Amino acid sequence: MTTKLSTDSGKGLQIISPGRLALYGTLTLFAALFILPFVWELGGSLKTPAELATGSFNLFPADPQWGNYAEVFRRAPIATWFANSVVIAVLGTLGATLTSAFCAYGFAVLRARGSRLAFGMVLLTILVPYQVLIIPEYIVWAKLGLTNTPIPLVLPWFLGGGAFNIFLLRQFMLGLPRDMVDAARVDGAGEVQIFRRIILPMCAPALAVVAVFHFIFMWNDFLRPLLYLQDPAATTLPVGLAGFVTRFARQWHLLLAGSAIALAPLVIIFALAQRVIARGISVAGVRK
Amino acid sequence: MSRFRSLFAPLPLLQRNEERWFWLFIAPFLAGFVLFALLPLIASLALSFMDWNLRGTPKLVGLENYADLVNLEGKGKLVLKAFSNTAMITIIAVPLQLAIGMAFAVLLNQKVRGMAIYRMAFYLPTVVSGVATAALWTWILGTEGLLNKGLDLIGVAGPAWFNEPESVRWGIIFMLVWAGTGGMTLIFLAGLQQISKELLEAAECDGAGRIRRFFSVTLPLLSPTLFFNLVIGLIGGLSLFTEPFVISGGAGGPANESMSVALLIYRLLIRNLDFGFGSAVAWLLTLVVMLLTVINFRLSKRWVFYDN
Repeated sequence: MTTKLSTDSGKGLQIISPGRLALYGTLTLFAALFILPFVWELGGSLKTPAELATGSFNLFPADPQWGNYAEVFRRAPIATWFANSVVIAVLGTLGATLTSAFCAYGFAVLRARGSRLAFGMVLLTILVPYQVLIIPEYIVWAKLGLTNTPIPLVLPWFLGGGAFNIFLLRQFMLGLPRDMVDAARVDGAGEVQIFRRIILPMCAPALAVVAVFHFIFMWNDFLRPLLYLQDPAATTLPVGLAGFVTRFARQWHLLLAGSAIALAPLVIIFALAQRVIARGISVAGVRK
Repeated sequence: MSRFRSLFAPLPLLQRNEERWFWLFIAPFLAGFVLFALLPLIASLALSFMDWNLRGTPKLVGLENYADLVNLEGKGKLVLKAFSNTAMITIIAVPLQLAIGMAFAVLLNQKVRGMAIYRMAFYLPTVVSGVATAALWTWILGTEGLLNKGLDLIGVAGPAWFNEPESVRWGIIFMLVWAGTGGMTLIFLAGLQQISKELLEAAECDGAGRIRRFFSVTLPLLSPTLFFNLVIGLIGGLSLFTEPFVISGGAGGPANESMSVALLIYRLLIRNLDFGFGSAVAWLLTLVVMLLTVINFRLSKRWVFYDN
């Protein structure tokens, strides 16, 4: 890398070495490979079935069929599924963020015998595959008559909020200055007050990371709603959409419009929360 | 004895108070741990020794379900198929994700302009992975899908990816690599950015070339990140469910070639109401995951380098 890339664009001579050119070429090619399927999908969702069958490589049709979207809404309860997905994802995210912060405060700030053992239990839950839990959990929820309600999907997140989230918030809290907690105690503040008034506000960046990632997880979650929400009126968008693949087999315009609707909120969140996501990943990468 | 005494000796008032708050703060986790991990785990172990289909009372059958598990002429045949499919897909997809992810991260780690854009482009498929992208791939990899049309142009007749027993798992591997690589890239990138420039410069001064620097400096320092990605990748691979479900309409076909262990457990639960046998399969999966993780941690002592 002996040549330099001019930083003030437009002014001066830009010199790019062949090596740099190859680097940018490779990166751009692969970035396109990752993005192109989404563009194809968006374009495909606006084509007529005939156009899709003859299949040109045109990304976008000359005459976009916005009616495809209307047809999907007419033929499947997409609006209901969408609303169910929003309710479940929002409630689950609320539960996971709040209670994982609560538990993380215990592990990070409060000293107690048995703390290490309890934290070991947190880490252990990462190793338990969810599949081993579904049979007993399904039986209990079914016997309680709570299937086809959001409760089996939401309630567990209010109890601990997930090992990864506790872990991440605990790491963050351990990095905060401890003097503030001690000073507040001397001033007679209770633990709940210290948690709410001091620690929680300072954790805002980490809470944002947990909330964004957990919302994405809840929105994409498939196995749980598939098990507990078998009634089409109670189910979520991914479960409804999975049915499309068999129901609308070969009616690609409907399948593509349906998946575009499911993808839209994630792409919007992704665009809005890029910074939070990038920060979350650097935290994940540093942990050992 | 001293340890014993320290556990039960009366504590100063302030410390005892703090202990009480500790248990109060982690109470939600403890309740969740008991209700949604410990009890179901024990219940599914108990169920694996029973025969039950939701009606009537559970019947104790001893080791019958486990005998069925290894009976490769009967029920065990599909279990073996599910485990071998899952293993094949994981063994091929995870190293590919790791290798490509690391290569992208190394490329991105050289002062690249517009890095944020590339980073996000690689990561988008990971964020939106799930049913919607699996549905998208059923179209792209369909018999008359875009990939095959592209192959037609260069005179190659592509297979009907998800409709033929020979190609269905390769289609799933393709989807997993596309969706999983970006997440690993970003974690590797975060790891690379922790590596001190001085070490690399010192190696350069000593005459180490690019390749030598990568294998002797970068890779050892990146090994904790590699280990993290490997463990998470393997656990994710072994719980493969969404992709085979979506492309096969939940059936694991064609010819059970896309049947994964998680999909089999789901089918035993929902379709067959075979709770006892399903629990035995689930416990086998749990043991495999735990054993693999223990082996991984053991082996990691030999190749993972912690710089502290």
